[in-house]
Amino acid sequence: MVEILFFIAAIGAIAGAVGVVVLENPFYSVLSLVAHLLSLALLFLLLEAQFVAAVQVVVYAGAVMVLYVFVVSYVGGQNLPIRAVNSPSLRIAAPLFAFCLFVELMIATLGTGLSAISSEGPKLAANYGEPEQIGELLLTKFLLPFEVASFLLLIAAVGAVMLARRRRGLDEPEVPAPLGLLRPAGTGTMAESAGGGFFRKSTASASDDSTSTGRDLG
Amino acid sequence: MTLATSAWLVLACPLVGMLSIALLGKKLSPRLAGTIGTLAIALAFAFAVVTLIKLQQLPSNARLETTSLWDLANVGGVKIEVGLYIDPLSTFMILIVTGVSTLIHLYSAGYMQTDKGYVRYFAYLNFFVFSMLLLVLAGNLILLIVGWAFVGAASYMLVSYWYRRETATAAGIKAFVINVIGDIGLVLGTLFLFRTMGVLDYGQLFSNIHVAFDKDAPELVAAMLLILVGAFAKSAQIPFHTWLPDAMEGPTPVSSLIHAATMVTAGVYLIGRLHPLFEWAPTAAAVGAIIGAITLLVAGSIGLVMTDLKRVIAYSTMSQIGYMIMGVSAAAYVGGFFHLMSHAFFKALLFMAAGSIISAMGGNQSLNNMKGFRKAMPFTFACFLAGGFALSAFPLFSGFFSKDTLLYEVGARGGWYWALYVAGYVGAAFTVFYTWRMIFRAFWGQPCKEAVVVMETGDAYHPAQHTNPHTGNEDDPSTQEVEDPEVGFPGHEHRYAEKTWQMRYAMIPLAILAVFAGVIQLPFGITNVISDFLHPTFADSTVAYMPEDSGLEAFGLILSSVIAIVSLIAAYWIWVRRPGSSAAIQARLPWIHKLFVNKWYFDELNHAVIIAPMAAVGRFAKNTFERIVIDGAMVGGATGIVRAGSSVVRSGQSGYMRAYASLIVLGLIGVALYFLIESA
Amino acid sequence: MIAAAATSIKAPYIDWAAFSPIVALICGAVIVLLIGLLPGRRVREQIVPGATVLTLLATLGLTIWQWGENTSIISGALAVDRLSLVLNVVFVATGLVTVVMSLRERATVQAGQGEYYTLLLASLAGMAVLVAAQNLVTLFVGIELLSIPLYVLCASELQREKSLEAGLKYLVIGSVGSATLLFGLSFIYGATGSTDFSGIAAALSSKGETIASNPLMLTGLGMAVVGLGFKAAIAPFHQWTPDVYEGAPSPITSFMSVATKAAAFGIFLRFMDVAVIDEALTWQPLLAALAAITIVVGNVGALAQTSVKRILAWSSVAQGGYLLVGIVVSSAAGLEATLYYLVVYVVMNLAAFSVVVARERETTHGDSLSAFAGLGSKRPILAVPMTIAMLSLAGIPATAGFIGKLNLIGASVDGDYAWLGVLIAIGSAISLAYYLRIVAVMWMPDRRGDSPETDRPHGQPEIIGLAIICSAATIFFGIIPSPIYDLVRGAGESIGLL
Repeated sequence: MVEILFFIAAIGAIAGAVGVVVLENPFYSVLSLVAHLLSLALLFLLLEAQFVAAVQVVVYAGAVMVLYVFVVSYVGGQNLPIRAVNSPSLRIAAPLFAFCLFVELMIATLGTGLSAISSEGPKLAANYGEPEQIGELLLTKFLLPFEVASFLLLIAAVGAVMLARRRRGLDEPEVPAPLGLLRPAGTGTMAESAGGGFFRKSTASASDDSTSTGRDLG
Repeated sequence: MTLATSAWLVLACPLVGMLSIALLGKKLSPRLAGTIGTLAIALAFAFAVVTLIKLQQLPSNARLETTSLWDLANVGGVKIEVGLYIDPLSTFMILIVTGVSTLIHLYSAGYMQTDKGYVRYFAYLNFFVFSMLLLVLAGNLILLIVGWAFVGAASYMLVSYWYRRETATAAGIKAFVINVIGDIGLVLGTLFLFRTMGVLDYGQLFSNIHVAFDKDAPELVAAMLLILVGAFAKSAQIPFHTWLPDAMEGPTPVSSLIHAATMVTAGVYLIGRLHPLFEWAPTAAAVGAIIGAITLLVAGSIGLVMTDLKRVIAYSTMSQIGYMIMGVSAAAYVGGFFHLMSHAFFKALLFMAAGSIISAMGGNQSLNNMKGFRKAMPFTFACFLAGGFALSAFPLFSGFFSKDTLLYEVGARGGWYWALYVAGYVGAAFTVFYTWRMIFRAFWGQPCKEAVVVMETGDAYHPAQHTNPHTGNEDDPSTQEVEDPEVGFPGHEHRYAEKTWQMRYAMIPLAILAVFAGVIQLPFGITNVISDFLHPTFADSTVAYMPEDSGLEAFGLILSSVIAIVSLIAAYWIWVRRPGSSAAIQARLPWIHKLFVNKWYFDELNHAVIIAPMAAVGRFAKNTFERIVIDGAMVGGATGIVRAGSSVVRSGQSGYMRAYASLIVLGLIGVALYFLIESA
Repeated sequence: MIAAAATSIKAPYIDWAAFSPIVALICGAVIVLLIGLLPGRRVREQIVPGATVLTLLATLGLTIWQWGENTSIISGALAVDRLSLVLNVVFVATGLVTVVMSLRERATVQAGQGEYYTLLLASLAGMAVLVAAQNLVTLFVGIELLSIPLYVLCASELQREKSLEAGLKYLVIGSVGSATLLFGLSFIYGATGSTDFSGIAAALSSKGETIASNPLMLTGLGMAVVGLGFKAAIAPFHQWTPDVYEGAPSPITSFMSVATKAAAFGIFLRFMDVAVIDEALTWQPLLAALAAITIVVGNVGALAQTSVKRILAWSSVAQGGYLLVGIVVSSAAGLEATLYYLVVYVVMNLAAFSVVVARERETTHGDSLSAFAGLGSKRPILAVPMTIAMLSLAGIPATAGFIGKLNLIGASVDGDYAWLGVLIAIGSAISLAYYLRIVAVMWMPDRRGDSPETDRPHGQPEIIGLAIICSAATIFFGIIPSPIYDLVRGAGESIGLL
């Protein structure tokens, strides 16, 4: 039974994660993420971490994801496909890197001699994973990180509000530099990528005053 | 005034001079800046003399004083002070540095008076003297490194002084790069010593060295070899020498000051200063002596084929420094420092006289164009002659006694040092040849058009358009780089040496010293000023001060005289009595005519037997060794690699976040792979 | 049941005195946030920065009050020792300088003064927590508290596109770094069974077990190194640096280049030298390789740049490489050399950035090199500090940077990594090419003649003052370095290094 549940949850988690990346419609991506998080909650449950599983469902799959869905609905843009990677070398390199990293992490986790990794699983105390124990840890051993984390949330909220309340639009694009000030090619520039922009060539930009997010290469 | 106070004041004078010139800057009239600069150094010289007097008042076995202002570091039992080390050797050096520098400042005040950057020039010059004095007076290796690096920086600024000339900035960069390589060696060598010994003060280093290391211990030899790299770079010894000829891009007084009289002697001083360490690591000392010998031969041979007047003198400097490095490495301390002193006098003089000719030539430095200045500029001619006689070690001139003392001390050590002894005398023949080739070509013969202008108008020749003497084809003006009149030499108001009193009065004392300075240390113990004075510093040496060997000494003197006179005559034959030159025919002396029946045949033979092989060696050394090995592989290769690396690194900076993230992942893969391999 | 549980929990003892600097920062942040809500221009432009400065001064006072402490507080979450106290001083000093630089900054107006300074104080609190952290959870929370306000601050010039881009880039790439770090920390916890640095060290040194060569442990360590290296801008995890530094408002760039670097190296030192010191022989070669790559990449990357902020960004990468050398040797000498260089680096880099900030407001050329052309004759009061800062960053003698480099080279020779010392020296030689280029641009006469000056008045006395103070300190500590030696002495012993 445990084994069957594990495989269901594991497949769900991986499929959900892949879906987030692969699906082109942001709305489906978010839903896929919900599936992923629910599968993770199931995995936590199998690991005897009942409290974490509950938090996972309530906070992440519930509250946070609902927010995400709202944002996507408000902002819209579901019909616009997410821009494809426009660098052919990166298109090959990125999956390759991911695969290499995966292999290495597999070697690292499977290659350890730790008892918890074996099929028997770890030996746990009777009250392991109960809210009581977690609460005790948060108020004793991890009191400081717990409190600092609350301050961190406050600061994150302040930052989010600050960014969100911009009253005017963007300034005019900065005055294009006179010819003498152009960057040599390859020194790297700003304003070429954050929104999936293009790699500005120094010669091209002399006549091109739209310095910001613009066209794709080619 | 105590000894310590006067030593600190020696150091303070140029610093104050530099700061006041630099800070007042444009508010100073050029004249005043020159006066402040010169006075500051003159005052430093006066304090150096006071230091000398105070030092001599101490008993001879206690002529050493250390003094410190504050601690640079005082951590965990390690104490590094801002302190001076005043003993006969450092006093000897500050006397030469301040004395010669004073005269060169005076000369510069005349030579550079029409230059637009006059004020900047004197600030640099004072900074340079300060750095050199700091290097010499430093009481520990850290402070020495500070002075060492300052000297490198100052020489960069002065070589690139005419910064609109591409060749000048390139030469400055080259000088700086090679000096930095030397600095790295010096720093590492120092830290290797420090690692084992835990001290950096000279006094403690010298007293602990025998305890800390076995004799010739590999770690000690490694440390001393690294220190030698520093000494070689600063003293332009092979293979770190190519910056010196290029550094002739600087104004001529700069060449005179930093590339003849003071800066290049820093390596000699360093080896002399650390002689207890070098004597305890004989392998390293032997490397120093051999490199010195190789340098003196190679540089001497290259001097034979150069056509640029200043570069001939530059290679001559390299060669003479080679003698000194060889000498002090072989424990010929008295000879080494005696030669350092006389060389400072005659080489400064030669550069000044060369500057005088160059200004009369309107900036042209090529020996091919100079001719017949003997009548046009008698004063300069006399000075050049005095310097030339001293450089070529003509009997009874200062260079004769100093070079001979050096070689005698080397030879007296016996064993394989005999090879160095022989090399020294072969080099002496080279010296005579290149010295007199230079003199005969510039002063003898039919006066060239510039010399005629000088004779007729009494003013220097001014070309219609000033060009960079280091680029393009001499005969084809269209290939030459035109000088920027804003920076660079010489303006149209420029006078040549004999008309400027500052230049004249700077050259007279040097000429006198170049001729007569030898009397203070005559052979056979007739006078012993230098050996007695330096004795307290080198008293602890176990290998210097061999028993007297009058036979060897006399042999050396005679051999030296023969070489000087015979080579001089040969040089006269080769360069003055060339066929087809009316001037040569006029100058031909009748008794030589009788001596050789078939002169034409003799000239050809001469050329085939002596000149052609020598020139071939010189050309090989110059073209193949220098250009390809040193410039191409070392300097050029290094900058090329840096440039290529730069474009690779920058090309990765695409601005794409996903590219950045991929690189992080790639890095992570590498790091994880490393650890996985380690865990296996 | 509930009553029984309540009595069984014993709240940890809190040493409020030792904890007080961090408390001051956090309370100050909240107070500044509240003050910022009050109406009135005067409140915004004077009281808010004033309150920030007061907070920082209070923190400084409390730090000095705790000087000489060496304790572990709040269940071992934080260590109050010489290392964290020295770095606290560095953070406060940087904070003060940043406040002064920000006084006339457009970003503060666009973002709202209260929020801007609150985020600054919060980031400083994160740094203080981070460098004192001695368990993995505190470490991660500290790094997040440091980073999240910075992400927002980078984007705080809300109406300038480059600033927004810098914030977004930093956020996204920073998340990759943080995720890697967290992944690594969980591996380490999994392998050693402890989140405390001391517990990890004990697990690694215990005999009879094979944790030290366990792939899980070592991979975790590798990921942690990558995560921390990201924050410290170690190559090849450095690529965000030039872009983010260029786009962020200059005071924030200055703050990041100095304080973030100090914090990242502070925790790097503590983590490597306390938690995993028994693995030193394993990680030393790797860190040495990273240091070498960083020195090379930073120095060659800076060549041929035309934006001064970008040059300084690459230079900060290179300087990070030098700093890493002190960690590689994992000795008290190395730690103190790193700490020494950090202090010196803060001073000289702040001098450089003060001039950049001043120049950005005086000209229309922004931070381009051309904004500095002919500065020597036009504005010597700015050109001289910049020159000193450049020479010091390059490690010219008689500046603080020289002594700092000498210490690092000394530590590397002492720790059998002499080749890294050689590399520091070679890197410095290469760095001369771009530092001296800035100096040359300033002191050569401006031949183009088109003056980039705006009609904005020159009156920025506070920034010029900063530039002069920082550059004077650079020279002072180059000639009389013993005060900094006194400051950092004992930091190595305080965390148990030989």
